[in-house]
Amino acid sequence: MAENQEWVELTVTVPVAAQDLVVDWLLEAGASGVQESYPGLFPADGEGEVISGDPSEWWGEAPKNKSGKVDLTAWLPKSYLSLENDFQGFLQRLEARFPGILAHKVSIENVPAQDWNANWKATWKPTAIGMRLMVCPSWEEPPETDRIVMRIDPGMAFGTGTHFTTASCLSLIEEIVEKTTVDSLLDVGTGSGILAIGALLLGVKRAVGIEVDLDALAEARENAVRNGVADRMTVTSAGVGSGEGQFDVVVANLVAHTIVRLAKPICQAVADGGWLILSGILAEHEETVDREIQAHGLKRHASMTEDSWVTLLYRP
Amino acid sequence: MGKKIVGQIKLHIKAGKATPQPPIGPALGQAGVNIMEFCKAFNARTASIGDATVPTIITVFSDKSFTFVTKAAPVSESVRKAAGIDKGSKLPGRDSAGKITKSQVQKIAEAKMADLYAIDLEGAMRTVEGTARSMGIEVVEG
Repeated sequence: MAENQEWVELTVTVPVAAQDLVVDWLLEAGASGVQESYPGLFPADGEGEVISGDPSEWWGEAPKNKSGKVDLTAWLPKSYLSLENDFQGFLQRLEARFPGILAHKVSIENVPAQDWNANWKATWKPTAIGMRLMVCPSWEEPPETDRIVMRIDPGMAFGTGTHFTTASCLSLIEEIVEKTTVDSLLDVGTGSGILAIGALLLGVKRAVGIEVDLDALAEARENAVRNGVADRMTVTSAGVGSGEGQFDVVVANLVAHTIVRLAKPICQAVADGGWLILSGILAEHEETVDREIQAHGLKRHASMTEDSWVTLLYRP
Repeated sequence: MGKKIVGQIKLHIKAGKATPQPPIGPALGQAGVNIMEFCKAFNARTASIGDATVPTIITVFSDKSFTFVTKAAPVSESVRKAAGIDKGSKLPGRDSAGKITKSQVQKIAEAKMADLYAIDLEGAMRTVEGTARSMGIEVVEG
């Protein structure tokens, strides 16, 4: 979905016992998701109003939902606006089983396109990574530093450097660049382009970033220009294994499921004597990924862990 | 003493397909949570589930950090899968969209017992049967 996507927000109040059916109908109708809300209730051990959720599932003590009702909010692409009549018809059919379900008005509002991550981005500050890099939001003035400053605007793409999965990949790239000359790097799932751009700033000669999300692709290109490396970086939506050749370093910060699915072309893209960095892996999936990569002939060289995340380093 | 909770958010979202768009964007954005970080963690944990809706409860703390738990798929989705159909009937009561057996009802009720507001298995089974009928899915012996 594009960042400039406009949405329709549909809100309806229904008995708790009917919510499962209504949620199912909305998702089947094309809603991207549904939020449950119990307005006006507060958790006993918190300090702010609960935004949504079933009181019985709150952390710690919580008041009972005496109303027996729940607000459901669904978001649909704007082109789905015409479904209001269908939805009313669906509620009418539920009336026999849930008397009064039609008593509450269905609210439909347009939601303009916006950067939903703006609140968090306002708190994002320059972050030192490894020994040589500093990632700085593109709208912030970088602090005085002898580090190499990388200016990033992630837009709605993955990759700000604040998460272990990204920071650990950059640290490993830095270590590899310290040890040897790296001519080429492939970044599978480049997102904001942070790994490929960081590698180029650290001295890698050329990089290819693969990204299937077209919005992220545009962000990666802009970030490459912003950091003066656009002439050495290619960004493409072509799938890995589409003839891009082999690379000294291949990095894939994805999720375990996708890494396993793409294991063969990812491993084939690593040049003899090269390096493969894998991240975005939860500890519970580490063994599965490790088995798959070793089955493709690469040997485990090192690993890094933090909380429940794992980053793995392999060599042919 | 643990961190203060500033909110809990319950969303129904597709496994492995979290994006910064609605519903995650507006729900977590207003809480100041790093949406992309949530998407990364959610997708990592649920990508292998396949095409299913995952009720997810996100707890947000005062330092903008979060935790989340995922619950079993909604009853209606389990009923549809058990009946082997994509959608319920457009006219439940008049058109039949498919059939499920009593033993399938019992399996769903057992799996969803904790979420069904039922005091015993029989009550949970009645809820599952009611959901099936509301979707135009017939419950048969077996």
